[in-house]
Parts: sequence; structure tokens; C-alpha cells
Amino acid sequence: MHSGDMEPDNGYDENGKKINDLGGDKTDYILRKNPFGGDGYQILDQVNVEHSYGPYGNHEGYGYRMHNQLPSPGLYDPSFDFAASSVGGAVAGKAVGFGVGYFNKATGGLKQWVRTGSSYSIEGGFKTYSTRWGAGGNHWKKIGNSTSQKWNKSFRQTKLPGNNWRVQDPGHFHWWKK
Amino acid sequence: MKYLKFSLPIEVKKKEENFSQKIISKILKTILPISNPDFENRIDDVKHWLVEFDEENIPTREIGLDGDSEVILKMPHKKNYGFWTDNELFYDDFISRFSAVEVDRIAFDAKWNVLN
Repeated sequence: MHSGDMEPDNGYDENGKKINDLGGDKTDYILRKNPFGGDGYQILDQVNVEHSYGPYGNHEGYGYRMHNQLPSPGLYDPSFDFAASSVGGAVAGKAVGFGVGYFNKATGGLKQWVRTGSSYSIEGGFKTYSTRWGAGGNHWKKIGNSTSQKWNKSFRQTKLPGNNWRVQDPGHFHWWKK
Repeated sequence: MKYLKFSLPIEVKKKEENFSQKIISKILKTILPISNPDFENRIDDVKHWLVEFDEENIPTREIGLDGDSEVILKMPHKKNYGFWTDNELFYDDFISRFSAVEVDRIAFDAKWNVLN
């Protein structure tokens, strides 16, 4: 899909650097300059923007906006409304929600650290079912915090002890050959 | 950006998970995020792969094609993390291991844009 006929909300390049600001806060796009020329962009990926609020300052990046304020009731996310039966509970629920949102952006979310599913064993040379840890390829760029990025890269390079093909690939435990 | 196309050796007989594997995968899927929730069941049906690489020869995007060269998956996309983009193979590894051949960006992008 090419976006020559549309106006992206906010565009980021493939390294997560913001490259345009058309004011939208609903959808973010990873864009690449149209390789065929012209002013249009090619959309590589898109996500719905998540907003979080808290005492951490204003930050934004691909797919998230952090606002340095408490939310108005209209911006309240009901998904965190697990303790709204009392005022104190509601405030606590919001605080947890803000923390979770901030934590997810700083760490990139749980999937950047651990996940499971089909994979490929470099050592074995066949497809497998595996559990992986640490971000693969360039996914570490989705982690917002630079310290978390470093930890994640180190985590990815760790291997379980042993000489078996199941543990030879860094960041992988291959459960079985497919 | 560079682009490669290759095929993995075709499995003559598709292996089904045995009972213990089903139990383990069910437990893992309960406690851990699934890498590619939309495409997990399609990965084994891929006959040809198209992979894009950045300047550092790291895979950045991938497309899975079936036997008729129809697009059946693309990753990373939405909640799907990736198969080759979650591996440690580089550009030259794909050529040496899978006899991958170069394709151009136009061919890759045309396939990428098929699936939304």
C-alpha cells in the first residue's frame, strides 16, 4: 500500500525516528520514502497509538504517547477499572495502569523478552517448536529505554548449558523438531 | 535494502504433534506470549520465503508464499513477531544454507502489499 493518497497521522522511519508530524494521535506508521519517486511514502507497518498518563514527563514514540498529567475522566481507560468500587481503589487502579503502560513502553512489552512458537534451529538445520528470549533481529529498537535495550541484547546472547542442538542457538530453547 | 527468495526443504510427511508435545505447547501458550498468533499454523505451509535485509544484513521483513506463490503470511505484522526476523541468520547465511536467490524490491513490495 502506498500512502500518496492519504495523510499518515505520524510517520516514523525504520529506526523509530519521527519523520513527520501531521498531528494525529490515533495511528502511527513506519514509513519509507516511495522507492518509485514522488512525494508519497510506503507504509511498512502501522499500530494504534496507546496513551498513558503519569508523572514521568511527556514522551512519545512509535505507537505510544506518554503524558505528564493525570487523566481526565474522559480519558480514563476502563481496562484498569478493577478497583473502582471506592475512590481509593480507583486511584490505585489508575496508578497501576499508568505504571503498566510506562513499563511496557520502556521494556518493549513481554514479547520482546520471552515468547514461544515455531522457529528454526541454526544448529540442527530444521524447523522447531521453541521458546525464545531477548529480542531477535532488529526488534530491540522497539524497546524504549536504552538500559533495557542493553539488558535485552545480553539476554538474547545467553545460552542454556549443554551441547545439545536444543540449547546451541543463543536465545533459544528448541523443544522439538517439527 | 536487499531481498532474497528461497525454499526450505519440503517435508514429505507433515508431522503432527504427539500427545506430550500438545500438552507442553498448551502450557507454554498459556504462560508465554505466542510469537506469531495469526500465522503460527501457516508457517509449516510456506513453500517459498521472501526476506528483506537491512544494511547490516539483518532480516527486517519476511513473506511466506504457498505452492501457488500466493501470500499466506507476512511478518512482522500487527502482533506477529516474525520467523526469520527472530533468528540469528544473516544475508549470506540464507544464500549458503538455502541457495537463496536475489529478488528486487518491486517484487517484494508487490507481495507485501497483498496482505493487510
